[in-house]
Amino acid sequence: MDQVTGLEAVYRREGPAIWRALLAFTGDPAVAEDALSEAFAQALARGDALREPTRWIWRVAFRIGAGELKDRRRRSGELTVEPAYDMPGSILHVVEALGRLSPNQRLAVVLHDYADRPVTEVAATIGASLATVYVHLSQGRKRLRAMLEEDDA
Amino acid sequence: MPDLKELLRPLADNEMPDRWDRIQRRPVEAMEESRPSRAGVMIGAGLVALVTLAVIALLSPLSIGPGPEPPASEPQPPAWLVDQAYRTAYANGDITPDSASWLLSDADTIAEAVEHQSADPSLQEYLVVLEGQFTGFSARVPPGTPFPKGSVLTIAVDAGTHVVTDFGLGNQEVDVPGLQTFALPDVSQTYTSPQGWSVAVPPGWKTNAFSAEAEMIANTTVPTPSADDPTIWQADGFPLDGVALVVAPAGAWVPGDAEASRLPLSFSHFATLDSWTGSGSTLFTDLFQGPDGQYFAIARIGDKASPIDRSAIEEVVASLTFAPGSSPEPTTTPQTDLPTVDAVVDDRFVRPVRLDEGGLQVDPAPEGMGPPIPRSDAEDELWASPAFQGKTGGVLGWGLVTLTTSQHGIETVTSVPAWVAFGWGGTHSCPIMTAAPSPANLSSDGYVAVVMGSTADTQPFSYAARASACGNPPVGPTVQPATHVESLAWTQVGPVANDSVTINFTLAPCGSDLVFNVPGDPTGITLFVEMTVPDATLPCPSPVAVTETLHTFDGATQIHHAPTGYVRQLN
Repeated sequence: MDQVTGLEAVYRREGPAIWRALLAFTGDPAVAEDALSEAFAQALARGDALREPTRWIWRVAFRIGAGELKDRRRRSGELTVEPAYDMPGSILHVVEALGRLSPNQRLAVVLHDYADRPVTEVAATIGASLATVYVHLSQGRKRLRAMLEEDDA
Repeated sequence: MPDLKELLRPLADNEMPDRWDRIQRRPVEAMEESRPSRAGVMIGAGLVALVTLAVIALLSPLSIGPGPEPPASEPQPPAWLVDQAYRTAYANGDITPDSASWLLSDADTIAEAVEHQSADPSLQEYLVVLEGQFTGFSARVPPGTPFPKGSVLTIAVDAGTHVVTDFGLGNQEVDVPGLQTFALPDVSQTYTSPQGWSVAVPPGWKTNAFSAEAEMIANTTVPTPSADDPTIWQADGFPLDGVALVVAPAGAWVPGDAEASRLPLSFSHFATLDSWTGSGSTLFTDLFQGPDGQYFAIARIGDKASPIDRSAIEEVVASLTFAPGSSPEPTTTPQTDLPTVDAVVDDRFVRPVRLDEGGLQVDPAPEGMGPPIPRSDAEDELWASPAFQGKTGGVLGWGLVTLTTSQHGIETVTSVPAWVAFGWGGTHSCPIMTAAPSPANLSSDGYVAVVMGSTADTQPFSYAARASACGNPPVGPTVQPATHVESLAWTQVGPVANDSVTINFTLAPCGSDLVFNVPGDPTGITLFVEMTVPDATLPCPSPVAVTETLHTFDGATQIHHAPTGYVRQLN
């Protein structure tokens, strides 16, 4: 199997899961799609240099998504992420609550609790130790729970 | 915490747009891979509170690992400023901020940029901007008013005297040209113990290895627990503002019926062990599973501990982890292909494990091959298997299963993706023997497994390894359809009378081995109605309603309902 065919197989198999997780993380289908496309394009450009393409693409796609959100925040001055209008209505409040977490908390919660990525991979994506990731997870879950309970009240 | 997967399930209805053709034609620019992007341009700061910084004790010597290497081309802040920034983050309730950036400029420029009060314009000042989840614990607020919170914290520091000249806490990003990101020591300020566990260490906290295996982390000098039993603390001498955490192997102190938590720990799950009036502190504890056995995490919090330290101890607890594949002493982990707790990392088998020299084998699943059902669903059913009754250890993970024995309608399988739970330990109940039995050389003796394959044609099965109990000739292995124990719902018919109670319930479809379990004390007893039910979906006869009269304990007047559903067999 050549490298392009191999990456296409990864795209078909893993792409939807990465895209949905990016959607939850960014709240914006356009950002999610662009981050995913850019990550795969970067992977294609690296050819056979990637030993673990799936893991690499997860990490890079989320870094690209996080970078795009940061650029938006610079432009808008808002620290929170507002979900795009075309998100499914039934989950708007969840994505909105996720958007009010800090970027690292949101990244840890979405990657680990929603996308089932291992903590070691979350740590590599954030660039932090496992201990730090566990703190982000703990704080993120606590805040998310509080916000969702407020919504329910 | 609500299940995020469940909450976001509607996302699955959205189909990913297929952009593969475009991706192949997409122009690619050079990308920085090694570290997150810097803060860049930001927007003016809003300040909500001016507070004084808490004075924090000096860092104690710790075995702290190196932090991330800064790129050689970017100027880095002085070490004292990095330390100051970390202490400021800690003093405001976040030991793991998302980002930190700094700038050296004149006081006027900094004051204008962040709306701080301007100091002497000739002064050179450092501006530090932190992003995270902060609480201004030092703010002066009226009684009953919550402390201010914010996600952007700014401090201005005199470059010459290192004195903090201004402080702000708000929610808007800060835009000052020349602001550069730097790595806070939260990544490196991790204490790693000789036993292999590690925690994030707040600034100023101290570590104290008070026995060969037990260690304490505290915000100040506190009495050392007994080295023989780390659960014993000298509560009387504990400082009122003290906060401490002890981590120690449970060893002989583990209660026989205790269920170990899994990492990461949450302080809200800690049980309050004692809170004596006058002792001035409260003890909390949790038992957790490490790669080589069970550990205690024991916290003592003084009655007058600051909210900063109370917040920090929760983060310390949450950060407790073992490095992947870590093991305290290599000699304590013999080379084996039998299942062990460290054969599974992040819910996946990371090395092959075998029973009966390959009768049942589990290999690591390829990366990207994930389970179709979440661990939480699988483990409820798997750990409810009667196969695990009496077992003292176990591990559960996702892997590829190969079974070479076919029995009781279970076919052999090769490399089938599955959730697999292994159990081991426990004792055989043997009749009185006049001579010790000759031990059979069966390394898998006492091991059991339950396998839940991911394909529709793979029936769940249990596997009991070849065993030699009580000196009898070896038997097995035994393979049979998997079952689990369920606690059934029941309703009471009339009051308790003459030490008996009548109940109605419906037998579980295809269930067998009906058991009534009435543990408890004379004043209030809990009634379990349990049946063993096949894991696989089978055609079953219609449910049968049953009325049963049961004996109760002398004097019991109230019958409580046991929890219904899966009954976990392995604690």
